[in-house]
Amino acid sequence: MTAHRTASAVYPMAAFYGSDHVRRAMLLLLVNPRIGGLLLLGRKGSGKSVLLHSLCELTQRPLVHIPLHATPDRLLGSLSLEAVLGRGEKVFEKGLLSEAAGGFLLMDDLSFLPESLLRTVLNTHGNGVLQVEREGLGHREHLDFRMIGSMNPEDGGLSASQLDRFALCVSLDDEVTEEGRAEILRRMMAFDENPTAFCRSWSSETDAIRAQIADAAERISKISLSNEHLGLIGAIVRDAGCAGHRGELALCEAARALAALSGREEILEADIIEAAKFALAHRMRDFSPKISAEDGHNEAQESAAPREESEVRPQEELTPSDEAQADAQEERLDPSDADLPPLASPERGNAGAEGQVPAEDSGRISNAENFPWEDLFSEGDLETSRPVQGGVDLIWPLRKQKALGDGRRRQLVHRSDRGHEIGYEIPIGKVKDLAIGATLRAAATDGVRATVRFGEGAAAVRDGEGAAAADFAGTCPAAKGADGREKSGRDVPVHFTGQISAESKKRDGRPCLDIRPYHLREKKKESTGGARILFLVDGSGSMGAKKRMQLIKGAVLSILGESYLRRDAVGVMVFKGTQAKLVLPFTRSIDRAKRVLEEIRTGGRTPLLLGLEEAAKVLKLDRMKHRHPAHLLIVVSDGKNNVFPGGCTGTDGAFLLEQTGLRLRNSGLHAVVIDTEHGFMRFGYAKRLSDALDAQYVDLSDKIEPRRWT
Amino acid sequence: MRYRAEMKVICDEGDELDRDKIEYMPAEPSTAMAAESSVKEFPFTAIAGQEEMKRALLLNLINPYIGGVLIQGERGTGKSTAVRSLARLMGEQLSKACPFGCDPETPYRWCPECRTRAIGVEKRPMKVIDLPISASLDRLVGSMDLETALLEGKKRFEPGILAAANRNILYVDEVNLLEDHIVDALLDASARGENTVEREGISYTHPSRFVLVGTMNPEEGDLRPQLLDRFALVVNVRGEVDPSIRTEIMERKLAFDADPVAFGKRYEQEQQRLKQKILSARRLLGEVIYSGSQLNQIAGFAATLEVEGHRADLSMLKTAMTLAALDGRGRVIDKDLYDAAGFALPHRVKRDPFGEPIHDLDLLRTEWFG
Repeated sequence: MTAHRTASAVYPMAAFYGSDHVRRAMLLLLVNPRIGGLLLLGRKGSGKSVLLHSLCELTQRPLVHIPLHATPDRLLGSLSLEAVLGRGEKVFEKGLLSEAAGGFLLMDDLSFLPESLLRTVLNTHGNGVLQVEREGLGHREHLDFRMIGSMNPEDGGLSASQLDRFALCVSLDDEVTEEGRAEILRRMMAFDENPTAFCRSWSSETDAIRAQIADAAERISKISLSNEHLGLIGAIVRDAGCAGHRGELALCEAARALAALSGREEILEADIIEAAKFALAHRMRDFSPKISAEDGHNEAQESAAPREESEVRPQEELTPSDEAQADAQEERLDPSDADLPPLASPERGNAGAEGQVPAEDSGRISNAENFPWEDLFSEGDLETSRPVQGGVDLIWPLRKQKALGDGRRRQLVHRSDRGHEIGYEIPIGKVKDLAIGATLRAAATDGVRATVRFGEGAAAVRDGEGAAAADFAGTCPAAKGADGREKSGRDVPVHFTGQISAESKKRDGRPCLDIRPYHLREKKKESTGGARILFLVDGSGSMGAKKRMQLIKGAVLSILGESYLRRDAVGVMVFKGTQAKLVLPFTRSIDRAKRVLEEIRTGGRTPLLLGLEEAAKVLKLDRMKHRHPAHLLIVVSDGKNNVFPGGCTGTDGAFLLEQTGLRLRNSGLHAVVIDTEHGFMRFGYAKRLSDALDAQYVDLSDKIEPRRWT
Repeated sequence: MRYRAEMKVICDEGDELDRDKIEYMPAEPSTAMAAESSVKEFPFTAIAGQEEMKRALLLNLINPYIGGVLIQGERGTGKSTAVRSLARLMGEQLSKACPFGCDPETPYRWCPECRTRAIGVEKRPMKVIDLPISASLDRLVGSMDLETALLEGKKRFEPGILAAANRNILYVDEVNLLEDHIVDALLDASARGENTVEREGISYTHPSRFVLVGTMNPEEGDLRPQLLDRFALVVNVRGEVDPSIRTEIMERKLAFDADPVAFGKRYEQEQQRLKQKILSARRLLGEVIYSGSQLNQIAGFAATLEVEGHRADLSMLKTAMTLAALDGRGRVIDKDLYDAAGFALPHRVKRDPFGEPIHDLDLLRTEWFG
């Protein structure tokens, strides 16, 4: 029935080498429908997709694959264009979610699925009800499907609440022995040469798995959990420190399925312990979807001694996904945060810095306020050190402000002319990108309405008015006004007179549409682009110049190091002598940044004012080209400007700086000021500039030169 | 674009789209246009220097299952010219007369149309299909045919570039500048060898197995790692430094610009010879053997270099086999493995955070296979 079935040349799960626990988790999902979902984590080339698609050999149930570029109308269902045009009937055409009913929904490369689609899937799955209210149609149905997704944690993580929606989660560990590698290669070659023959040679194993599933599926209804079991489960979940109760439920169901798979009708303690491995790992507070050999071992240990889990999970396991988690948590605590100015004010920044995650311990941050800025800049030595991993979060506050989503992505999500389609909208001004389907449906339903208006049947008129009202109201369904239809069920088409539209013409005896300007619909898109960050760097010959440049290099490279995740672009402007120059135009290329940064030479006076003006100019121009991404200026200086525009003297220095700062702030510039002033006598000019700019202020004096008096 | 007019699939009218009943409109033959356009291409054999790049392209021509090639290099090094010139080397292949040119020999990969109806087989020239970086997603994956929808009120799938690329070469110039959502669609299709469209009321799946050829200038930004990993082979090109080759390049280019047809004739014989070589290599490829210990060696080598995933191993083995076939040998030798490692592994060696490879590929491959 589904498109997915057509791909019959699928690598059999039986022939998948290694990763037994992953295959076992998949069997659990197949056996027990009450396990709602499974998430596979694996690096690129680890076989996630292969495993995902191998499901289709093992079940007769519908399998629906959601392509990354699916549009909401196909996902949810929409008005059937053919029915409305061909027969003048308003019929709901089911979408992918409905097709997956009773079966499986496959989502490969989950990280790239548009945020809004993923949210829809997760919500529908969670509620068990699909409710569509669009295009003058209302549709509601109970849906029960199991979802199975795969993702590479390196591509960006899910938020804790999204992870929680997946009952089970397993990592494919790609740590295989050399012999294993050779065996995998051998099998892949064999499959490539002749898929059909390969599948045939594994058919007995496949049949065995099928039989095992069938047997277990039959048995599972007889398996129930005793009070002792529940007590144990409760204790494990409590010790693991999982939020919410989905963990317990998943654990219960997984344990039942495990017992059924083993051909037993009673649950053993071992089942529960094994199930905990699948059901709890991703729900624990410190979970990070990291895949490594150690991780596997950890899990094994946990399962052996579940009560020690919370101790077993050490801090060092914090990795990127934690940010997402922290995101989610913070949003829960402070929902108004999104409305705050993009960059935390200095006070907040300082307050957050107290008693927070010691940087040496984790190297990670849990939220923006206690970001270890000093850390980012402390290891900038190109020759000897690696960039700090947390470096990319330099612009975290900015992301947060601009992000439309819930901050799950480590990328910036914004509405734009480009990117994933997330629906359609009525265009403002000129139509740039026509949403054909939506436009046609708008025109078609308009035709139906017109017919009804001028038609005879009283009932039809009622319906038609409902539709009309619905269209004006925007979202509410036609059915609201149509009593008769609600009783007879939503899927029953409402019949109208033969002709589609009062205005429509027939060409060659076929109906044709009459599209008016007000029917036009435009694609609504969302793209995940990175921020554009401009470093404004003091290139003068003042104290600590060499060290300062090293810091900058480290920071720039560490941002670019993960730029593929976030699509951040970085530029560097250096001011020295009497000029400010954009030495590195915005780029995402590490190669290029590295080469340019190597060549920067320091020396001369400090024209900070000029630098600020020039940087603002560059950012303004860039904003014209790239309207959507957020722009950020990072000023690295001690604030001691000593080159003045004509007529001014040094005494006005601080005042001028403040004035410039205020002006730039009013022009909508977001900034971070990194203070590199050092020495016994400090003037705090950079701090004043930072205040004027309303920027986040970071004091790096220690890093530049350790204070002598200590 | 040409293929736009060629292929149309009509979905059957009905409440629910029934994918098993799809009408198909025969393609209009456009061989004349194809022939005409290929005359304008610079002959492959006339490209001076850049041996590595030419070799990598030939390998993909001989064995389309290697998995594509990424050519990295500065501007003006003949990357695009070389890729486009492939069109004149590619022969014809047997295809089902459907919009997707399904392979008659692999029924398990047929499009819905070929599965449900008896469709004739014809010979079609292999093509280089361009994916411009400005292409919209609709054009890439296919969309609803507006004309049919308007005039007939029927949904009809209008195949896109991914359909045209099936069993052909899909060429992306400046592949690093592709927008993310386009890359996602490419990844999706290349991972499964088929394109599933669930957009704008259209629901359609068709095969889309293509040789992905990309060119890029690394100075303009990096390629997304997921996409990089999909390229089986990588070659780096640099401008030729040998003055005599540079002179040769200039002369040939000038001659070609002056009179492309005459220039093409001059190389006709050489082109034919290369075509024959490709054909015989293709025939030989099926018989090329490798030993079990060679396979183990590949796995061990990849493990030593800490290569992520298993795509690298597979492409290295296939490349080695194709190299043997290109040399007219029936078995893989160490030199093939050495060369294959140079093509298949440079972009997959584990790197430090600055992007510097941790292992020295050249040193290690000399050690293992030198």
